[in-house]
Amino acid sequence: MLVPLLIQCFRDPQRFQAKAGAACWTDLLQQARSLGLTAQLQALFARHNMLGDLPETVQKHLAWGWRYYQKQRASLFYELLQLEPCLGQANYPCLLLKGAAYQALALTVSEGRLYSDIDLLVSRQQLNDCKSKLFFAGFFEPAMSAYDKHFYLELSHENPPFYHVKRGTALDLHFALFPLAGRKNLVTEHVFASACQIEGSCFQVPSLSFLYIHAAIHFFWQEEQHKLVKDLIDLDLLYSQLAEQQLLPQLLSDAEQFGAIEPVVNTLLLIETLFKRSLPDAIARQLDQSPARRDSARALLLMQLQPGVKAKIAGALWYLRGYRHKMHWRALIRHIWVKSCLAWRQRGEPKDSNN
Amino acid sequence: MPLFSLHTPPFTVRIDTDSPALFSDLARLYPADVLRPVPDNDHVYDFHIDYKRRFSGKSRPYHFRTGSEHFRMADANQLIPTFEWGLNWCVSAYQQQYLAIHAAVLEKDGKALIMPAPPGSGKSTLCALLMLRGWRLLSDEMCLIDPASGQLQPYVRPVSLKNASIEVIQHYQPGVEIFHRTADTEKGTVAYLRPTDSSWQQQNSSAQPMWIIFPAYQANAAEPVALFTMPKADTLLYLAQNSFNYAVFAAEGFNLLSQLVENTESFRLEYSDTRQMLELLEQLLC
Repeated sequence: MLVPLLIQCFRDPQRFQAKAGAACWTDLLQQARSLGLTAQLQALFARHNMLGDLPETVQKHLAWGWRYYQKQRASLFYELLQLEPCLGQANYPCLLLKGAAYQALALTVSEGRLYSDIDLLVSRQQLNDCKSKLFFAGFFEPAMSAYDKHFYLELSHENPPFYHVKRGTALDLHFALFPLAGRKNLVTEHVFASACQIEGSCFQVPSLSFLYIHAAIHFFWQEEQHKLVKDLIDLDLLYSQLAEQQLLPQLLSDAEQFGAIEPVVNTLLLIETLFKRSLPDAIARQLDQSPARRDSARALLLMQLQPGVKAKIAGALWYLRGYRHKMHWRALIRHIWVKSCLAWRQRGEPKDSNN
Repeated sequence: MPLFSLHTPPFTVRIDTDSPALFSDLARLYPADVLRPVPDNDHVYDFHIDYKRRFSGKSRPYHFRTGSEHFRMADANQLIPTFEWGLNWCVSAYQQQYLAIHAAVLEKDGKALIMPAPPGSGKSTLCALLMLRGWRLLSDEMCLIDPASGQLQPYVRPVSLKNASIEVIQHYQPGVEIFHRTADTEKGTVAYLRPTDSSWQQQNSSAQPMWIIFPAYQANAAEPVALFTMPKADTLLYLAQNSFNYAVFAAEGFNLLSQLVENTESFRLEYSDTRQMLELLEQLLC
């Protein structure tokens, strides 16, 4: 099996460096830049004390990426500080998710990781209150059709995205971790129960195992194909930290109770295969016997990482499979029907610049 | 010619194309030690450019991409302009080594002139004319400031001329060779001028910034040439607004620009008569 260069590099940077020729480094730099992983490469080589041993051009590009990351990290912290006075008044938990949570916890995965928006989680009951607080802090929702709004609130897992009126910051306000239309019956209360307060801040963060579960859900139950490698690297770094802290049994237990054992089992198996990580014996046995193993889905995923026509076919199947997970077939049919009717009614009308 | 390379300090590029003409077209603009028919096996390239025909682009079949990032599609007869714009895009979007400003840069007697200006101001025309009068070209598009030294790093590439400026150059420098005149591009008719030999020879030599001039061609101006001193604060703000990566450099960027503005003279140059403007400029600067 041909493993993508970036995965080879994150798997074993010393071995990669020993084998890589100039053309290979050129390819690695292009791929890292395309996925926004240049600064994460810098962090990887710094963790392994290898920066000084790399070719000069590689060091130069890693420094470019790191400079950009530092600017992004400063912007993220600035935005979080701007949100503090507004959400500090909330008498309910506001959880940071994904990149913002990784940064707040200073996890290994956050080192060099870029972000595009801030993800927050509040309970469904507090959604309207949180929205009004964000409104008074300068965030607005762009206009959209009544059906699209219904789609967000009743079928997806988040409010329509917010943007800051002056700074343009994008903020996703979640009330669940996965689209409701997927009918996965995930117990969001467990995420809140796992959370801990960030010292000196109004924000909370989910436990490390729930951060992994969230990443695994959005990797294994989705249709996107363009950032599989990036997501796998995130998962591997989260996994390594869980393994270091001996939290893998906790991860499986949390995933089982939360209702997301399938993405967790299969992403752990993928990490074992692709990154050659040795899972602890007890965990490996548990995965071997798990009814949540999805061998064909994992094979489909591995096929997408290969070059050629097979990857394109696998990508098309992955797309269909992803939608099946995100939307129950009845919800999907209704959605397609309503969108088609709306498009038919609006034919010939001038397009709204907001859509 | 599927794979070749371009070594224009401080950036190198590996190009993968199925165009039979791209290499020979570029060879009219770049010297042989810069444009190489085969990539160097021991060299790590800054950018890999994929510039091939794709089925989806029936009318504009060539797609310019780096990694998975798509820049633009091009007709077979517009390969060169799209290539040059694409290369500018790669550098302006991704390099963070230098503080980069959208400006032309030239040098004479060790002193460099920076000319930031919006399109249509006559920046490229003035840049080309000064180069043809013996100034060394550092760039007609990108002023690269080294944060460690405050010196200007050359990035020598062909000078891009647009629309009326092509005739202006031919009028003031009869016999000058203009390459790849291409009509009906997104920017109208474009053509290219080869950098002078001295510009290529000194492509690794940085220069000390001395002047910042904002040219503004005004066809109906009352005076043929008028020169105004620019307030330093205005100059700094304008440079920051026209920088590709000022925000990324944050406080370091502000300090660099402050230092640059403090140590240079800045002017606004309004002109309708090119010959008088050149005389005044050379009187002022030399």
